[in-house]
Amino acid sequence: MSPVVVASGRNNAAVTAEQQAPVSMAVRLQLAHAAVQWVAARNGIDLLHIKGYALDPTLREGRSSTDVDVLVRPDHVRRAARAFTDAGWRRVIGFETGSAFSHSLTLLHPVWGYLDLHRLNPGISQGSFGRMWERRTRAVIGGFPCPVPDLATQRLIVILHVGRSHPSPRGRRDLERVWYEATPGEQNEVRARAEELGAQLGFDVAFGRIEDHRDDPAYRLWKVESEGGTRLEEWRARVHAAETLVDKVRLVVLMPLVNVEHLENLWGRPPTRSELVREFFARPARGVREEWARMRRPDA
Amino acid sequence: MPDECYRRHRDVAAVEDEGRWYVAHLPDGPIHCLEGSAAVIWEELPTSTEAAAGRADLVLLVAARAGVHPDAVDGDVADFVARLASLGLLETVSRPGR
Repeated sequence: MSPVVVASGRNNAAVTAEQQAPVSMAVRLQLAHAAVQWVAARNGIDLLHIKGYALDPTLREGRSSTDVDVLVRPDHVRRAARAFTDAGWRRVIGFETGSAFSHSLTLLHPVWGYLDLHRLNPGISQGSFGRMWERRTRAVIGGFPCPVPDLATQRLIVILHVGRSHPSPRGRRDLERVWYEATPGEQNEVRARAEELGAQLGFDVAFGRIEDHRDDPAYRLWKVESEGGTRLEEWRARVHAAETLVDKVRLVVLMPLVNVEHLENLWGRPPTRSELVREFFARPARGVREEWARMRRPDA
Repeated sequence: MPDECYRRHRDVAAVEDEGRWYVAHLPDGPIHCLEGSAAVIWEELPTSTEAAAGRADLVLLVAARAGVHPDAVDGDVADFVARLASLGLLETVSRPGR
């Protein structure tokens, strides 16, 4: 990361010395939110800061974060990706290869660290950004006013995140804080927001009610995400959940392709042509092996 | 003679943590850490939306915080302000002499 100048006093009011010093992740992330907002404002990009330091302090207690997450107005996503790369962020993981929900682009800046640029929030219907934007509020982070979702939507976003994660102590703590410690009135607001933003499935998954949604096209995807599954199960679920035929075809075409970005990040260098060829054949073979192992499991 | 006034640059992000200020000019950084007297002077600087402060005013404010005579900090404040300006962390505004 970047060098840091420390100006320290020789006596009460002198400023003489300069030396290098570490910067905590907490400080760096708050400055990073400000940097992201600076770029967004300069480029006319509507985005909401979500999670991490963008959360209301009452919801953030005990949670740690390692990156900046923003949800971008769908029409502004392409412009945002270009604006951030122009401003010094480097693309690390693309939308299609980042997660089963194909929801975020991961960028890295030499000073500010990781930025997850979301084109959708898993569980919230894609056309809901406008409603979230209308209800937005502001959080001052690093001295900059950053647009954030209203408190009820913040609670919902944390709940949806718990829903798509494997059960964990952290997930339970998050639910405790954002849901069980909320007043009945606050819970009603979250329920209303879940309905308004088309987030009922993800909301119910967080509370173990996924089987209430067996007929939902996204059911299999949430099942794999929350309970785990093989690579093939994940791809089948992604194709099943895709809303249009074009999206389904695109996913089927992408499936056997080698994830070059992933290999580059894993190996710390771009793969060679022969390594790509080897990986092209190894990838489906791994998928078949996983499927075979799953079928042989006693509980399969 | 015009008097130079100062305030924090509007493109600077700042975070306070355990008595230190971490500041950075956006969008590139780097991050600068201000501690001790540097942090005190930073705290006394007006923000980018406030009226800029003259050097004499700054010296008085910093001296009061430090509990020393203004003459004892005058040179140091001038040096620090010049340093901040060279790092792009400070905005210098000229106003007509009084």
